Amino acid sequence: MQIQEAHDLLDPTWPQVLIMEDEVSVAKGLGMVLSEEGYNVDLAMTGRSALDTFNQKMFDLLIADLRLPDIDGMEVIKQVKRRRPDTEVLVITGYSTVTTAVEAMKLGASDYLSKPFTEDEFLSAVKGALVTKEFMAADAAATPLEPLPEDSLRLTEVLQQIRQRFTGRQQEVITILQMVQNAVGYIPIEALQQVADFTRMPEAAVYGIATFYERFRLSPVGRHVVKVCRGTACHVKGADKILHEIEHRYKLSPGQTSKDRMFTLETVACFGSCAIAPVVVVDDKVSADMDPDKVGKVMKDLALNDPKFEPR
Amino acid sequence: MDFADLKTQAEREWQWLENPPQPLIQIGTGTCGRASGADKVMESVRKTLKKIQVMARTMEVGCIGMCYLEPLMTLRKRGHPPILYGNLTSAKAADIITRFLLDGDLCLELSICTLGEQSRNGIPRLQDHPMMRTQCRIALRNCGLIDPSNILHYIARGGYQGLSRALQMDGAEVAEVIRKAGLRGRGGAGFPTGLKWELTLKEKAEAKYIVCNADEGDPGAFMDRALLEGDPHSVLEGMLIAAHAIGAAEGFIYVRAEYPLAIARLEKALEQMQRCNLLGKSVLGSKFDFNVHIQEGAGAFVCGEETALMASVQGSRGLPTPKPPYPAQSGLWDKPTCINNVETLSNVSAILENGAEWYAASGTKKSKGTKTFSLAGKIRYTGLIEVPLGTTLKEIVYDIGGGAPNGKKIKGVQTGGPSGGCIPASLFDLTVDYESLAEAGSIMGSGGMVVLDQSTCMVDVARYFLSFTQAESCGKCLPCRLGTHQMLRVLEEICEGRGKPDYLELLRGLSETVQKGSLCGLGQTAPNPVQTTLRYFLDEFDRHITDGKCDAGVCLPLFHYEIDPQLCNGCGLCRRKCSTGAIVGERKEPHFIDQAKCSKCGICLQSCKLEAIGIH
Ligand SMILES: Cc1cc2nc3c(=O)[nH]c(=O)nc-3n(C[C@H](O)[C@H](O)[C@H](O)COP(=O)(O)O)c2cc1C
Ligand code: SF4
Ligand code: FES
Repeated sequence: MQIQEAHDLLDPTWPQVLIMEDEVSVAKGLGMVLSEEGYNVDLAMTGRSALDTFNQKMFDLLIADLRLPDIDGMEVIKQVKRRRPDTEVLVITGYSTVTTAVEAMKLGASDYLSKPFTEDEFLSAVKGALVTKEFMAADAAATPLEPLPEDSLRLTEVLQQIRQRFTGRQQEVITILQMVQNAVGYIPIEALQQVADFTRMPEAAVYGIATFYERFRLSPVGRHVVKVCRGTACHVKGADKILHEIEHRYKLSPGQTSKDRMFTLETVACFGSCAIAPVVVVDDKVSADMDPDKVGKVMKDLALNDPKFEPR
Repeated sequence: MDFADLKTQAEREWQWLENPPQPLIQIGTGTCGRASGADKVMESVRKTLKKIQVMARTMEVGCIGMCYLEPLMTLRKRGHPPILYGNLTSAKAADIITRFLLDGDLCLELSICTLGEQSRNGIPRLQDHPMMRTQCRIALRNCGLIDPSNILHYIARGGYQGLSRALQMDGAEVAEVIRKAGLRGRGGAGFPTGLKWELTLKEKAEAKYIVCNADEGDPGAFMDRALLEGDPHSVLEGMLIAAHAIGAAEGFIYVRAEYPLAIARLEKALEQMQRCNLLGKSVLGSKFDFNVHIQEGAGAFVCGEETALMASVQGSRGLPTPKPPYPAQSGLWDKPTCINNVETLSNVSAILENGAEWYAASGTKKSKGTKTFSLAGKIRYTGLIEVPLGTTLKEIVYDIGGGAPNGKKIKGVQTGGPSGGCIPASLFDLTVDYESLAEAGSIMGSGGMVVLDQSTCMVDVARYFLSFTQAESCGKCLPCRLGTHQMLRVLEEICEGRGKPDYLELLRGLSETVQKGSLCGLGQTAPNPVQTTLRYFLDEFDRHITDGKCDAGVCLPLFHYEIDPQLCNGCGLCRRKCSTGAIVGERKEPHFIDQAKCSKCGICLQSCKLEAIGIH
């Protein structure tokens, strides 16, 4: 009865949880507690069925009993973590010893609970496990990032194109700098010198231009650039809260890049999509009608699909 | 090919569109549409057509202006008026295509209106939709109806007719038509366009330039973007007409880099013009030669100002210079230059096509014609509209815009962006034209209208605009550079609850200094948002300073959320949504907020179905 009530509240954006537990009454009990809190819950009584379910669906959290009738719970965790490293794991065990717990944590479990536990203890452990998941990105880099080896290759290439396409008049300088930035992601110091040579302008003048215009950056950026609109329409519809959420969750301020080079956070005056405010643009794709929740999801998806993503 | 042939071909193509032998599906793929998922809808439509094996054509169109309904799709099939569907998802689009094309089911529940003169089965016509009823579309005449990357569509709808007419007149005659039409610059200042052209024409020089200002710097405005994306040729035609009038052979379009789609559409349009003999040597066989360059901006608001814009086109930092000399005398490379806004130029092509009297018939005595506005903020129907000048704010906000969403009270509307001001709802009988908005302390500006409701804090709005202008000041003039900074600090202190009663006088004094001591429009108008909020919303400043309260729940230190135990039924929705764990309570018992943990993100306020959470 209670589960049915809870189903009316199901919200696909709330966390998906898989409970792997061979004792039917315990599994159902835990499932009920979580459903009532709005989580979307699946149950598996054996290790195999857990892995099957896991293959069909994305889960945010696996709650794993270690003692199962078929395979060892630890083995299931290992496979889950290998296939989807972003899945959080919470271990529950009836015969907790420090060693098993430590072993599970080494595999990437975020916490463990030993039976018996209260409903509150259980809920706060679940919440805790999911919170660590949200804070997965690295902190901001305190100093500007080092250039990557491929940067200078790209620069040489684009400078060659520029020499072919342009004649070196001063009126071309902004377009040239834009081309450099599009190719390399930022404008390296050498580029300023070369552009100055090519346009026969003093280096200081080119530097002056590169620093005057908001769009030019002089240091490397991350693989994904997240731009939050701070225009009037977006402002009155809560852009500040979106920005705050990113700052808080990823420990980034506008202009900063995370140490793992995953994200660079920027703000922009307006994208001209004010009718569908608030707007966030990620890697040049405009997302409409954002809120702190949604922006978190967009960034999480990006991180998970990034080949260089390493969960903490 | 000469123009007559081109026109015949275009008309044939258009007739095909109006009454297509195979079904035709048009999808709005402007930036708003794409952001709301138009690409996915397009993909789904194509897949569905394959699946149900129906031969049909798909086509991209620009923004029709009903942005709140994006993504939008029009279905044209013989025997039916074209029907517009909105708020689509891939699934809904597939459903409509299947049901309509296989079973002839019009999918009434998903339809919005019909296009054209007929209605069908109770589906209203577009022109009867509340958002459209009082609109009058001149600049936006083709937006959302034609494929912006197909020059033939534009020509079929009367495009380049005006240019061909202009080419038979001399420059002075063309300028005279525009002067008679009473067109004033749509970029903000409202300078008479015909007069500007006459002044530029009068100058003797071996070269002259025409510049289209598509920098659209007002944050919260998007008319120019939609126009460039939806109907680039109407602007380009206007530019050619202007060039011919003043005697320029070269033009520049200065576009914001934040508008990649608009730039792509312009590039495509220029390529087509080249092929149709509308660019290059002897345009349409006349003696007029013309070339256009696209110049991308680089994110500096001040570059919307004419002299700064020209500095930027020439490859320098965008610093304004004193006027005179005016651009008409000495502009780009010291040559006479005429700068016109995107919308101004789109109006120009319509005027040359239809005549000055036709244009002057709408609008007021001093402000002729129509003006586009982008409606955004706390309003039901957000989007792009065009109304005759002289329409009241009330009509725009309530009739066209549908008032505030979810029954909130509208506090006012911000017009003119950082150079404009906030007009309170009590003055909504004001007509929208250059003079009356200026009298109210705001400006018409380029057409951004951001509607503010009771959950907007006016002190915060003033602070917001100052933070914008302070960051965008080029730094050349001391009053602008330091004055805006000082004003911002004062406003920040008020928002943080550290305001003192004499701050208001301080703000008024600083406003005057910045206004009088600044060189360019940015500085001169930067105090406007502060002055209008002080004038119309003084009580909110008082509440912040005297009582330390922000009733709108925006200035973080000046409010907190509380759950009303009488109203709360303990459903726990807010507790689950709260990311800081600040909400506690037993199931089915009233909940409480632990103020120490609360980050005031406001998610609980949105999640509570019983409105039990209040701002205190
Ligand atoms: C700070 C500042 C920003 C401006 N931004 C724009 C803009 O984004 N777009 C625009 O068309 N005009 C803008 N203008 C107005 C232009 O300087 C100029 O008046 C206009 O482009 C002239 O065209 P019009 O006569 O067709 O309106 C701005 C003016 C100032 C002072
Ligand atoms: S008023 Fe401000 S923006 Fe304009 S020139 Fe002076 S400092 Fe620059
Ligand atoms: S205000 Fe954010 S897109 Fe314009």
